[in-house]
Amino acid sequence: MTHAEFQDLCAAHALGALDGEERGALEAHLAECAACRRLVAENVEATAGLAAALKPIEPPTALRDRILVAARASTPRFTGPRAVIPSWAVPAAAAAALLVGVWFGAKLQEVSKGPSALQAELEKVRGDNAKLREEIETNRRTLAELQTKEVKFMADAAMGEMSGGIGAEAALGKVFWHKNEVHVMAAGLPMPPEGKGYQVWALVDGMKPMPGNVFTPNAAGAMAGAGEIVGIPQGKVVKFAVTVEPIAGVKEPTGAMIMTPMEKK
Amino acid sequence: MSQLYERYSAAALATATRVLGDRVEAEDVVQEVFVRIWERAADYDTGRGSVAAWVMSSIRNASIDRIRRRDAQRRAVDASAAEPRAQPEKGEFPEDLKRVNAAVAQLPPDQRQAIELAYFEGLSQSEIAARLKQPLGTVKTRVRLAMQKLRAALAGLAEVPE
Repeated sequence: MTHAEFQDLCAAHALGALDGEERGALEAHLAECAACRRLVAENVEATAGLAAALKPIEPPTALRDRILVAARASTPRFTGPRAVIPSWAVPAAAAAALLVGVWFGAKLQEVSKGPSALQAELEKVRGDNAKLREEIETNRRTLAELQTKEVKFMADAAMGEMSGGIGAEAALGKVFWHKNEVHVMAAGLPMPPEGKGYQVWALVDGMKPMPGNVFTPNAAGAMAGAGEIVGIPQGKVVKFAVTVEPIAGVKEPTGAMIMTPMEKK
Repeated sequence: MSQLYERYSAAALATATRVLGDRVEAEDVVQEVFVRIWERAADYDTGRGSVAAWVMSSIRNASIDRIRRRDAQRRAVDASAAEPRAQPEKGEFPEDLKRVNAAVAQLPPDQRQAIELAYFEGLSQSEIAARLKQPLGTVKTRVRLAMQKLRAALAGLAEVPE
C-alpha cells in the first residue's frame, strides 16, 4: 500500500470505521509515519465537531455531585510512556499532579459555598487553570526529555553491582555508567551518621579511587541519583564502592566502606 | 476538571445519549469518563489535540465500548429513547469546533449519514455499506469526503474540492 493510500484510510480510522485488515495495515504504518499520525489526529479533532453538532443535554446536578464524590475518592496518577523513569524526574511528574490536585481540591470546597462565591471564584480558577496547564505541559516535556536521555544512557551503559559492607550487610546496589556519567541505585542502607553521607567511588586496578557524588538514603534506606566521575578510563575493568564521608564529599576515601564491589560468582 | 465539566458535560451527555440511546447509561458513561479524565489530567498531551477532542472522543469511545458489551436486545428495547432532548444552549466549544459543527450541518445527507453511523453507532465501513445497501467503495468515498470537509472547516479553509 502506498503512502497516499494510507492517507486515504486516516479519516475512517479516526472514526473507528476501518475493517480489520485495513486497520492492521494502517496501524503498522502509523508506527513509522509521523505525517499520517498527524492526519489521524486532525481527523480525530474534526470528529469532535460531530458531538458539537448535537443539541446539548443539561446534566442533572446529581450527576455533577456524583462525579465530584467519585473524583474525591479517586487518586490522580501519572502514566507516562513505559520507559525507565529516572528518580530525579519523579518530582516533575509529582509536581504536575500536585498542581492539578491543589486546584481540584479548591473546586471541591466550592461545592459548599453559595452561587455568588462560586461565580467569583470560577473566573479566578479559569485563569489559574491555564497557568496550571502550562506548568503541567512544561513538566511533561521535561520528563519526556529526561526519559529519552535515560533510555539513551541505559542503552550504552555498563553495570556494576555492589553488596553491603560492615553495618549494612543487607544492602545491595547497582551502578550504571557510560564514559563519565554514573547512575547509582541502592537499597537496604542504614541512615548515615549526622553530617555524613554515602560517597560513590570508581575503582580501577593501579589507579587511585575516583570520587563521585555523595548521596543520602531516604527513610526506607534507598538511595538513587546520578553524577559524574571524572577520569574513568575506557576499556578497563571498573568497579564501584561506597564509603561514609562528610556531606561535602572528599577527594580520597576516609570513612568505612558501606558498600563494596560484588565479586562475580 | 470542574471547568471541563462545566464546559463539556452537556455535549458529553448528548453524545453518550445519542450513542447509547439510554439516558441513565449515558450519565454513567459521563461519570466514568470525567473521573478518568481527573485521574489522568497530568497525562493530557496538548500536542495530541484539543481538550474538546480529548473529552469528546473519550466519551464517544467509552459509549461505543459499552454498547458493544451490552445485550443487543436491551439496545433494541431502549432505541426509542435515542433522540436527545432539546435543551437550552449550554457548554462552550472552541471557535474552531463551532466551525466544524457548521460544516457538519452543510454536509450532503449521504456523507453525514456515513460518518454518523461510524461515530455514533460504531459501525465499520463495510457494516455501513451493508446497512445502507451501498457499495463499499461508495461508503469509503463518502467518509473520506465528509472528513475532508470537516478538517477543512477545522483549519478555517473555505472549501475543499471534491
